[in-house]
Amino acid sequence: MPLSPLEWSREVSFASDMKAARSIVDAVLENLGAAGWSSRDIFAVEMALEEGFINAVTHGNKSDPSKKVHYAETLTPDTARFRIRDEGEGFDTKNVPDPTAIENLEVASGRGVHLIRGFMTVIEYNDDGTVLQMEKRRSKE
Amino acid sequence: MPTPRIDVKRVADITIAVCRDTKLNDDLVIQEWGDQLLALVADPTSRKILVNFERVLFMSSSALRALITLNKKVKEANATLFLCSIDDNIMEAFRITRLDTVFTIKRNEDEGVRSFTFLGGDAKK
Repeated sequence: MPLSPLEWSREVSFASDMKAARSIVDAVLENLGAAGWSSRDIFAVEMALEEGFINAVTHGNKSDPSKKVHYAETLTPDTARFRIRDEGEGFDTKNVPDPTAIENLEVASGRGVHLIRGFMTVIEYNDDGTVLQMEKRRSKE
Repeated sequence: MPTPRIDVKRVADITIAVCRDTKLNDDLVIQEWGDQLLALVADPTSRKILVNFERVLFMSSSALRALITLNKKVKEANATLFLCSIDDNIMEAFRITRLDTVFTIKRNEDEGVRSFTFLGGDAKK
């Protein structure tokens, strides 16, 4: 729930559906904009949430509407933290092919986690790959 | 009937596809956008293709995947693909994934057209 214009947190669970996920993303972007975050930082958060939700909804929960995505966010003036948990079988987080390796550069898929890592300050998966925690620190002006 | 996702124009023998959507992340949008770009490659008169992203402000990895598929088809067709007018934030996604080394990216449409003109008759990448 909102604590102040510059500090808030909330948790929500929803059925596996990207429309619901994107309405959450839109609200986050609006809040970051209102808090004066740069467009670059807001883009980074949008990318990370988009990819995190796609992984949870599509790959984790296999778009099964009976499975839920559990989401939490906390924003302080300098940091945005997010946690996305799915109800899928997880994946081996230590065995994700590097999409930037020469042999993978023209492989069509497998860039989501790499993009999250590139755009966020900190990212962490739990051991079975069902929980993604990530943090964006606000860039210095 | 699919929604038009690109505006297509010709400048000499160059086919320019201007992306219409500001966000390329929705599955249906990406499917239609990708299909419409692939249709250009299927046209034997389109051997020089310039995709203009001037209106696009966000692209997910799914859109990048569609571009890689397009690039493969372009190579198979012995055509040439340039991208142009990519927003700075999206360029960062290309850099992070090193796709900036896979695609030829021009600053704007004029530069893209000039580059094709410079290539002349030997437009193979």
